[in-house]
Amino acid sequence: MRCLTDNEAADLVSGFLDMETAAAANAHAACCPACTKRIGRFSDIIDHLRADATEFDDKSFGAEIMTLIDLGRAEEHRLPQTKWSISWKTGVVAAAAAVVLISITALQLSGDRKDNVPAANWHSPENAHRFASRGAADATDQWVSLTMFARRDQNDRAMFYPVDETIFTDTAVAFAYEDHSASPFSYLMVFAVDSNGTVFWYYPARDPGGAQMSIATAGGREKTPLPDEVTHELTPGPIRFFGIFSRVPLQAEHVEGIVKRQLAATRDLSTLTRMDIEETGQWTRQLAVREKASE
Amino acid sequence: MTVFLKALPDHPESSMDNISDDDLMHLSSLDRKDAFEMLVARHGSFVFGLAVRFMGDRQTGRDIAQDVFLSLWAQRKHYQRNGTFKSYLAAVCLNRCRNASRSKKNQERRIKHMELETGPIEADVADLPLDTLLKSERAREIRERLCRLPEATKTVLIYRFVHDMSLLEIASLTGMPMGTVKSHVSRGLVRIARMLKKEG
Repeated sequence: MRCLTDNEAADLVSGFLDMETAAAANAHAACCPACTKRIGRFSDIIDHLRADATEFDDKSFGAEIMTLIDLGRAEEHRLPQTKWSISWKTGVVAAAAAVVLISITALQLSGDRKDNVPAANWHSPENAHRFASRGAADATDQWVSLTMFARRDQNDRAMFYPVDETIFTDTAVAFAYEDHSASPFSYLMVFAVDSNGTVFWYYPARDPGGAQMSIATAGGREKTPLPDEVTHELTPGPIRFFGIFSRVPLQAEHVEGIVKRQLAATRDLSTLTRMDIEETGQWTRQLAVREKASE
Repeated sequence: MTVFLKALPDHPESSMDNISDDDLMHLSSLDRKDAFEMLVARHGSFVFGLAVRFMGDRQTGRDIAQDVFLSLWAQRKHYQRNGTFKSYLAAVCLNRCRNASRSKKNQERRIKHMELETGPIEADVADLPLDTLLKSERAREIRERLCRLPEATKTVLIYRFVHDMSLLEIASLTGMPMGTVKSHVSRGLVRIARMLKKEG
C-alpha cells in the first residue's frame, strides 16, 4: 500500500475507514515511519481536544444558576430569536414580502416576454455565476447556484471575499450553494477543469485511486456553506468551475471521464458550459488563474 | 405528554430522572424550578463545554452557558417543541457564542485571558512535572487552533471529541448529512495539523 495522505490518516484515527482499509493502512504504517508519525500527529490532536474527565463537571454551575433564578436575575435575560421562536407576526410579514416579490417578478417576466426572450435563456452563460437554470432540459424550476469565496488573510484573520474574475494559483476557495428547485437535489460535486484537461476536485476531496462520490446536501433554499476552504496548486490560465447537483450520488471518477471526453471534443473551455449528465442541475463559471500571490 | 403529566406526582421531591426533556420543560413552564434544575443538571456540562471550547476561554464560556439557561428560564412559557431539546440548547448556545465573538470587548478579553493562561504555567514551573507542563501547553496550542476553524467545522469537532458524540448524534443535532459531518471532522483535523506544522 502507498503512504497515507493527511485525509486518510485523519479518517483512520477518527474511525471512518472500513475495517479492510483500516487494516491495510495499519499494516503499512507498521513498517513506514513517516505514516506512523502522521497517524501519531492526528491521535495527539484528538487526545488534546478531548475534555478531561471532570473538566466541565462543575457542581457549582447548576447551583449558581438556580440561585440567580431565585434572586429574580433570569428576568433580565431574553433569548435571541432562533428559527424555532419566530412569531406568527414574522410569518405574516414574510408572506406579505413574498406576495410583493412574486408580483414584481411576474411584472418583469411579462416585460421580458414582450422582447421575445426565451424563458430558458433569462440566465445567460455570461451570468452563469448567478442563478442558472441549467438542469433537466433547462426547466426553470431547477434553479441551483454556487457562490465562490476566496480567502485573504488580513491582520492574522482569515477573511472571505466573493470571487471576481480571477484567482491566484494558491488561492484557498470556499463555496456556498443554493438550491431553489421545486424539488431540491440531494447531492453535489464541485470541481474545476483547466485548459490542459486537469480536473481539480473540491467536493468530494479526491485522492488518486479513491472512489469518492458526490457529497450530500441539506436540500434547503438557504445559502449553505460547504465545510471548508480548499487550495489546489492551479496552473495560470483559464479555468472552469462546475457545480453538479444530482438526485443520486455521482462517482467522481466517472464524472472526471466525462469532463475529459467533452473537453477533448470541444478543445475550448469557454464552450464547455454543460456536462452531459442527465437529471442534474448544473452551475458553471469560467475564471482566469494568475501567478501565485506575492507574499 | 398530557397523559404522562397527569400521572406525575406534583410533589417537588418526586424523582425526575425518567422524565423527558420536553416534559421537564413543560413542568418548568408551570414554574416548577425542580424540573428546570434537572434540565440544568442534565445538560449543564454539554452547554458549558460547547461554549468554553467554542470561545477558547473558560470564563467567557461559563458566562455564556449561564446566560443560556437564565434566558431559557425567562422564556420558559414560550418554549415550543421543535426538534430535540438538546439541539435547541445547542442552537441558542452557538448563537450566543457568535454574538460574543463579534464583540470587540470579548475579543480583547479572550486575548488577555489567553495571556493569563500562559502566565501561571511559567510561574509554577518548579511545582509541576515537565511532562504535565508540556501536555498543558500542547493542549492550549491545539485548542487555540480549534478556535480558528470555520464555525461549522469547529462545532462538529467539539461535538465529536469534547462531547464524544457519534456521527449519527451530530448529524441529528446539526441537521447535517452524515457525509458532511465526516468531512468536517477530517478536514478540521487536517487543518489543525497544518496550522500546527506551519506555525511551529
